Amino acid sequence: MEQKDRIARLRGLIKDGRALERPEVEPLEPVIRSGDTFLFRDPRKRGATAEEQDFVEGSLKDGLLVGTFIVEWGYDIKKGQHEKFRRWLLDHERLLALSAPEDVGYKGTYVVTSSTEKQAGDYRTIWAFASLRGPQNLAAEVANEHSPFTRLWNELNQFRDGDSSNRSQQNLSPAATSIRLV
Amino acid sequence: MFRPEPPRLFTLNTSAWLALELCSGRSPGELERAYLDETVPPLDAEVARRRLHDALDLLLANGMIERLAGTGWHAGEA
Repeated sequence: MEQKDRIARLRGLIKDGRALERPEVEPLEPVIRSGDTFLFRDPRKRGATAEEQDFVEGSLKDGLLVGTFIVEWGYDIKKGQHEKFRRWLLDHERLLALSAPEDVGYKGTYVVTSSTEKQAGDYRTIWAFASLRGPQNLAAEVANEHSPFTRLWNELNQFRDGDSSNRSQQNLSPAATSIRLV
Repeated sequence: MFRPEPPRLFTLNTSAWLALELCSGRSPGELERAYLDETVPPLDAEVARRRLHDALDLLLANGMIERLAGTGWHAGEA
């Protein structure tokens, strides 16, 4: 982001009534949990045994698994927006799920009623992918600004508070078909 | 915000971030005018000046800007 864009964003925050409170500059202590424990793969493809592939196929059909891999967003929404966000979800969440591209599943947005993770955000949105084509399809879809899904995707993301340091992302794979490296 | 030397990540609230964005290449007087242009209203001018000076103190203390001899401030590359 260029400086003129950053200043435009700041103007937006000030215009939106974001309090110009006493200045704060706080060092961040990053916690990085890298994915070096498990091998990332599609458990329905080459390298997985027939039993594993059958298990995943059957479990997806039965609803036991929600995806061959899952992405969980953790975030806060902008201050004072909970009721508006809740209304938006009531009105649009099903449309978002129905308009998702092939191999991409929107699996809902949740509030965190309790957690041991203090900085992961108060909200979670779950995306499930049926295959590795899913993320490619998702990227292609959100690049199309005329897509109904993209409009909903953008509306959802506009509720997120980009200034909050409380955010997280987790990528999950079915443990039953996982390969542990260490 | 990333400070390259020594490397460290910081989180800034709106008041401090605005001061950081505006300070580079401006004289103290120009910076004050620019900050007041952006923040008055909703702040009144005296509060805005205090916010700016507090922000510069914090940014300097954390090595995110440096004072240039007689001319103003320079913000590090983020």
